[in-house]
Amino acid sequence: MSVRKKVILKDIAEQLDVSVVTVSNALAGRRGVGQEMRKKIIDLAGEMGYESAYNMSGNDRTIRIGVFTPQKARFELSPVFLALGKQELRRNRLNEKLVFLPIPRINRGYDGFQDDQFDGYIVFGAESQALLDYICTKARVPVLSFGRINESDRTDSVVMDCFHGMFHVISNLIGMGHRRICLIGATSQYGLDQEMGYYKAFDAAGLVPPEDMTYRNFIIGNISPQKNQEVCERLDFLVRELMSREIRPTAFACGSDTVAEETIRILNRMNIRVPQDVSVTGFFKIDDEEDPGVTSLTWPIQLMAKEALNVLRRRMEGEKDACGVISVQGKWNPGNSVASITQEPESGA
Amino acid sequence: MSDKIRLKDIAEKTEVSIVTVSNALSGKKGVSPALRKNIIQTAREMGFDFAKYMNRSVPGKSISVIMPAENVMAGTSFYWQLYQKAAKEISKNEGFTILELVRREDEEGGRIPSGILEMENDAVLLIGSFGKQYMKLLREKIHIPIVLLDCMNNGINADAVVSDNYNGMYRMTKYLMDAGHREIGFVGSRSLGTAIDDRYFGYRKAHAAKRIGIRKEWVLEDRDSCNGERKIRLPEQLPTAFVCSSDYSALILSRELAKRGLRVPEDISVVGFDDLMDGDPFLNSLTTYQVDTDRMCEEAVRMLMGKILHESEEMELRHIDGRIIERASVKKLRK
Repeated sequence: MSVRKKVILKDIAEQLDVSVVTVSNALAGRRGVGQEMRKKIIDLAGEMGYESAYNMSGNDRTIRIGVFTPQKARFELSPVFLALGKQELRRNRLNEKLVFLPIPRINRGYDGFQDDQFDGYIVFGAESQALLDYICTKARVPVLSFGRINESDRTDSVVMDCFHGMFHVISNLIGMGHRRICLIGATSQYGLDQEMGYYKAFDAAGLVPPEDMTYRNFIIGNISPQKNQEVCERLDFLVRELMSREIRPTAFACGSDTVAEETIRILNRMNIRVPQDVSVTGFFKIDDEEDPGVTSLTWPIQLMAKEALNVLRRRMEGEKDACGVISVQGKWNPGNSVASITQEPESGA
Repeated sequence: MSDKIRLKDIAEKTEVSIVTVSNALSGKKGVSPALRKNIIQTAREMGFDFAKYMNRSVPGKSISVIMPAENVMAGTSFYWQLYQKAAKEISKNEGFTILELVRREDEEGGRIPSGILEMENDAVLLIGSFGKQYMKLLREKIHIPIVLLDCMNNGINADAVVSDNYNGMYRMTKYLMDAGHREIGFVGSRSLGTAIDDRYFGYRKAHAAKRIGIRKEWVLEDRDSCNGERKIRLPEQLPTAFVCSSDYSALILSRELAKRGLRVPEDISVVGFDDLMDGDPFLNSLTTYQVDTDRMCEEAVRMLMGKILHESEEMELRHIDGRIIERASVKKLRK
């Protein structure tokens, strides 16, 4: 007759040696908790089976949403999303019945679909269309892709608009006098969209983009340290090569903040100052980070969480029509890694 | 006697009942838009104190819709459709709509419909687009929220809802690639605006994803650069398929192809974009990307109401995805 003891915030706090307030803040998605710690707290809360008070209230059947975080999750945002999602649910009291169950490290081969334990799934930063297709065919409940566009027809996705985002970044750099802008884009769809945005910005300004200055497939973070190391080396090689050219870039537009930060480190090692000598931009900044840091785009993660839940709920309620792609827009965050440059006297005017 | 203007005074002057005046001012139903406009205008002229009378929490928001007159006069059903759906959506939210058409000469002369400036509106919905200058002027002169429908909010402080041109065209191009096509042309005038340009980049993305180069001679203008007339010049050598930036372009393309004795889809495949026209046998069999006008209007009105209630001061841009409508203008190629 052992009754499982209910897990309380204090239990989580003790295990991690932090205060109860920190645990509470982390789970509620409030500020003041470092990202790593937030992730630790959320993971542990999930493992320990913590259920917050607002989910326990009411005796309606609980709607359960499974959240896939694929193994190679380079999507640093998933813990933030979970936290914001919970906050969102609490704010909108109608949704009190929803519970998030993070499913870490699930990949192809997962066979939990038969159990019908979830009423819907959110797939975070799926690595490939194949993975999405797999989940969509196996799951008998609605599936929403977060961070990657599900290319199959009649499916739902909530994503960041990388195309218009990079268009925005490059247009701003051009507006500040930069012409020789080097693109160091991210991987897969993100990278492609960023590249298209890059070209669109040059076209829109009536300029010809510089030759041999667009690169893709650079991503650092959350994958294996060894791979990170490889990417850093590849980046180091590329930046050095670019800076030794006769026609050197005046700005690096990076596909992520981590790549931007690494690029700055590399440049500094070469005694090149940012932004006095060269400007550098990042791409993914979460909107509750206050530190100005690298010039980047800020994304409304809160809005994305809200949209994702809204769409999924609509589908779980039986809505047949998909919303398709919901893309949110990034906002220019000035930061401190970009400087205007005065036009070089090209025409002699 | 106080010199305060009462409802009765307005009723007498406009020769209607007090109830009608009350309904008109509070935004309730049962008053025709013309009469409502007249009553509100009279009330303003007489110096009626709106602020005290109109309870903002009461449903009955007044939304002015501004459209370029030519969009309506040219008989293109698309903008009428958008207007009707938006008006329906507004009334669902218990608001009412006043339509103002702006003629080209008004735009050129920088004249803003007086109703918008003088009336007690809560927000403005702009359907379609005007020139940059005029958009700027509108934003300067109108001190209430503006939401743009089917127009980007580049450089103007307004919310905007547009169709997802980039992802939509990416999907149409990918659809052709999935059917085995590798030589695909694009029809559309990019200089016409960011919507067409975004569609072009969607086409380009699909090629970049498959590492297929784009051949410049297969990117075709659909308008004469001198007089803007619809016209497509076919190159000597043709691809196996075309994505068109609109159904109308697809229709014109099909006529050009017919002149060469080529049939769709037997000899060449064609897909369109919009799914807004009918009445032509070719369009009835055209595989296309259907713009979701219902959701565009829904979203625009949601933004309007949000801005009126000051839910958020942030400006939003929304791309609304549509879906592929499969008909019979694409031939599957064997790999």
